[in-house]
Amino acid sequence: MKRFLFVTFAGVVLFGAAHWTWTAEKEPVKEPAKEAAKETPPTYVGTEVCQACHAPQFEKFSKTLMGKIFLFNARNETEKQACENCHGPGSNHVAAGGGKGVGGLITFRKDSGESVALQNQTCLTCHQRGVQTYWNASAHANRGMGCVTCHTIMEKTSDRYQLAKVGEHTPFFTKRAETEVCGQCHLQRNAQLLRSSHMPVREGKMTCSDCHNPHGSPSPAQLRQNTINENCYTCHTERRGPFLWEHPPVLENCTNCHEPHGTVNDRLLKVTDPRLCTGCHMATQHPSTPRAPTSVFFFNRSCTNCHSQVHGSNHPSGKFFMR
Amino acid sequence: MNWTRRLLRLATFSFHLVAAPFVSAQVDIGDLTISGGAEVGGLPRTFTGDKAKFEEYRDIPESVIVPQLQLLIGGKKEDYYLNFNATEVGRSDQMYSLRVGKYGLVDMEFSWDQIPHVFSLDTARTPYGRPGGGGTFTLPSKPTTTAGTDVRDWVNGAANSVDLKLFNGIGRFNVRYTPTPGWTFTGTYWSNNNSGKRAFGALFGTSPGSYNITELTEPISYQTNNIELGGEYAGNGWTLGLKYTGSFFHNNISTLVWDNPINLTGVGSACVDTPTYQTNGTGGPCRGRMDLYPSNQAHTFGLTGTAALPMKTQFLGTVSYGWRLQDDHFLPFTINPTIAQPRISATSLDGDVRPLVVNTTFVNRYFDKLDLKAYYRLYDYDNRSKRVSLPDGYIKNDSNPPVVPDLVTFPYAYSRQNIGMDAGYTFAKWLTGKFSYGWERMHREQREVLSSDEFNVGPTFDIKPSPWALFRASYRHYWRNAPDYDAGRQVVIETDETREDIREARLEALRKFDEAARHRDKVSLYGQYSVWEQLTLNSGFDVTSDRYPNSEIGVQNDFNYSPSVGFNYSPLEWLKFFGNYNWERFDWKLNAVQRSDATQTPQTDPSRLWVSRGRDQIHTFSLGSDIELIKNLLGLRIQYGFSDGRSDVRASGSTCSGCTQATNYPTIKNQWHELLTRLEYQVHKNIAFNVGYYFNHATENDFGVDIMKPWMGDVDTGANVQRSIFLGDQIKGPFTAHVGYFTVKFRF
Repeated sequence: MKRFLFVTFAGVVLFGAAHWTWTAEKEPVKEPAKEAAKETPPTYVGTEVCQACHAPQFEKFSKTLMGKIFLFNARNETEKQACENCHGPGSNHVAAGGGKGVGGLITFRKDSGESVALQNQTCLTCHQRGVQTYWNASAHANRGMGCVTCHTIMEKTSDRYQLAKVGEHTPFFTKRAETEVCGQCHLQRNAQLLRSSHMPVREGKMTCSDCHNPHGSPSPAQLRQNTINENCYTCHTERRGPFLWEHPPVLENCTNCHEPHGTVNDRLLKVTDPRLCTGCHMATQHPSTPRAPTSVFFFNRSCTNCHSQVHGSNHPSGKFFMR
Repeated sequence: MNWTRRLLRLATFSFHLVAAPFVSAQVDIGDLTISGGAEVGGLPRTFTGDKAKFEEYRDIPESVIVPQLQLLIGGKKEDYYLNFNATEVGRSDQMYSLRVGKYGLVDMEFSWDQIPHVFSLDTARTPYGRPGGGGTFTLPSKPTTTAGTDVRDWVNGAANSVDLKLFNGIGRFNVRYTPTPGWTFTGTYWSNNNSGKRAFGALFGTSPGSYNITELTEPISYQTNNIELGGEYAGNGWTLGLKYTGSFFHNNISTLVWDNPINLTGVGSACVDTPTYQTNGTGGPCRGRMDLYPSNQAHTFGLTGTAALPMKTQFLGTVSYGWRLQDDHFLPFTINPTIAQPRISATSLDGDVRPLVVNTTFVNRYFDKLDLKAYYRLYDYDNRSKRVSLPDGYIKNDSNPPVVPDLVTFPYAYSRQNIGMDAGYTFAKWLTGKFSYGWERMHREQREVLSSDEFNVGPTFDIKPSPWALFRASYRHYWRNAPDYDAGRQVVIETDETREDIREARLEALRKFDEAARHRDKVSLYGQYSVWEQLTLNSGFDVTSDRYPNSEIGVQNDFNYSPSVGFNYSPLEWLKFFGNYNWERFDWKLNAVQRSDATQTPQTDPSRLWVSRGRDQIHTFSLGSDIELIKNLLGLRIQYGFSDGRSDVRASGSTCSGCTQATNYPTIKNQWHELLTRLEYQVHKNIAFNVGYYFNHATENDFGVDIMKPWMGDVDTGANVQRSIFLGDQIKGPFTAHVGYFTVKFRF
């Protein structure tokens, strides 16, 4: 199996390298900004002119949220520019008779030669606020991802947020569009959603963006809240405490014990009980003793058969989390 | 009701849908356009096995279903809108959402979502009753003696079936108001009601020593109310936002009281308490009392701002300050009336934690090909809760005498600081490289390591030889120190013990993995290649390796690697295939020492050393196809998902005389198969029929759970377990479901 996977992966790499060599010099890349600079500085022509040639795209765009704002509810002159607000002034494109790559427009296409930074800057002119505030400092921006990697602007695909994937709802499972988009690249996390012990992501009750902000955040792993624990407390508020008797590794980081994306062990635990607890507790008697599978220290809920208040206790007699 | 009648009802309903007055794509009424749809159908099925896992987070009834309802009303001027969506109508996982607003100005959403969580059905049993509801569990009868067979016979006769499940109902209201493109105001209120039962262990007596476990059905009745208010202004090159978040958790049942089944002096109020725990039925506590999660609240203010600075630099900053409060009155030390309550210096914790976050980030792109980023982050968990002193100690599990006198609690606090720098350079159009450096200081007020530093460095390369190919490779090395690791430093202060006593008791050689010195390597490879426009290949390989070089005892290492491949292939306009495969492996190693006395260490008693190794391996596979058999008329979807997971624990050592030998655990296995085939026939542009078949099969083998029953004295023949009772909820039963799927979709 390992050999098969290695060969498959190596094959993909080699095929890619071969294809690159073959195509490397075949497609001279236009620099649209430089091309445009050689021509007359462009001016705005208005959406009616765009619509005349791009009627199908216009029709689809008019059904999107951005389309409805720009085309029917523009709040200022910038928004009234509509198509040209994002693609740039179109006079040179029109004067040249249209065509792909003509006139110095920003097209957001993969083969346009435009830099990702240029494309993103167009979106960030309006959208660097709210949940997108930290985009420029985000891991996704650092990896050169474009807004259009995850979002489609010109037509309504997902129910919300203009995502590039369509969700799917059946009575049996629900694939939310957000989860589908993230799963394109985060293959391991996507697979973990199918583990036996899991949160209700594959049932459609949660998505990746319930915990993470894909546009960036000041927190580790682009979490929405300040820390891992505060993220978990959003739903699991009962564990927020503070408690009279704290369990410090619990208080510091829920992922010391749990793997939130999914595990084969019960209760999203990284390691089967009692080993998880034995890793830190080697006091005399029962924490340090290896246990047979037929032992009460192993079966059922293992250590938490007795120490059920493992997240913290507020009972004066709860020092060992049994009250 | 037989299936013929069900189908007739469905056909009649469908006929009425077809004959409904709505025609064409949408309906125009005055200045409004109305569109929408409904889906209704049925799920006949055969099912064998444990329903709990099948319906863990979903409700799949064998009845008429309404998977979806939708109504969209919009102004003809494309100004106002109203969207109503409902899924799984009338079922325990139903969801409703109503959005109204004016484009570009205001958006309001009301939603109600239900999330069931089923742990076990028809397997758990308990002899306890809850006559008044709430958190009081009483026994209408008790065993005749505390001998194992008598306890067994009693619990088998007296226990009644109980289902363990939770129900989460979440109501939410959101509003977003943008009076101008610069200003945004948001408000959210959401209420989470969580209720049900889950398993919960409780103890009388002490371990080591004599005890009996009584596993209960913890009553859950949580109410959480959250509110979030924010305002933000975006100017030219800068933004400033302020947000308040309030969260109020209330536990409606915060105290658990339960009868002790082995105090045989009487049932209910006739039971006679004695101060000392007894195993022969002649006394001990009649009841136990547990403090469940206390109610709490949290308030946070956050200020976030960005500014464009000279030389193409951007500043991003956040300051956030919060209060986490908890002030539930302490319960008495014990419910046992024959024991004098020890002294305690406070009636409540007066819990007060003030988390502070400061984040400052600078991003610079002055030079076209050079991207620079630097950040500093501080998280300070400032715990101002009371220090509580227990001069007499505490009562262990409602039995005398008090133990561990001269205790003082310590409001545990910590802070974390991070500094990071990234420098990325575009060497060529197809090659970008980045070098990263990071530092983290963890400071703790107590625990074994007070201050530790972790550093990380590593490069990342993005290779993009063409618009259709992308390869990413990154490597990061981390190293964390753990200076002055002292097992004698403790969070709860036991003032009558010296640090040396505590080191000895806890084992000086032990290193806790979350504090210990650690070396970590992370490698991540990712490739995406669109061979042709119709074919896209994805592949990834992630490796994380942790080693604990100074941990003589404790976790030694863990190693996780996960290769993945996937593809999307559309050879023809009407034909699409997709698939993914992932394999994940997680290995770990733990060194331990079996100790019956504090003087036993790896040096004094090497025969007590034992080693444990774990290995989790999971294969996950999915494959599917979308086929448009007849364009715009007949479509077929087939998709299959499979997951196979195994968890092994092997152990060896502990060869000392009279010691428990370290043994292997039986493999935990789980498998999940899921197949969906669906044919959608567009009988009319407004009406479609869906016919399909869903197969779902899961198996789980977990020795520790599969064997459970209310009395486990024949599995663990120790005296303590002879006296113990469990719920016996076998939460991992296999199942097989064959479900037919027939729905009618109507759109207008």
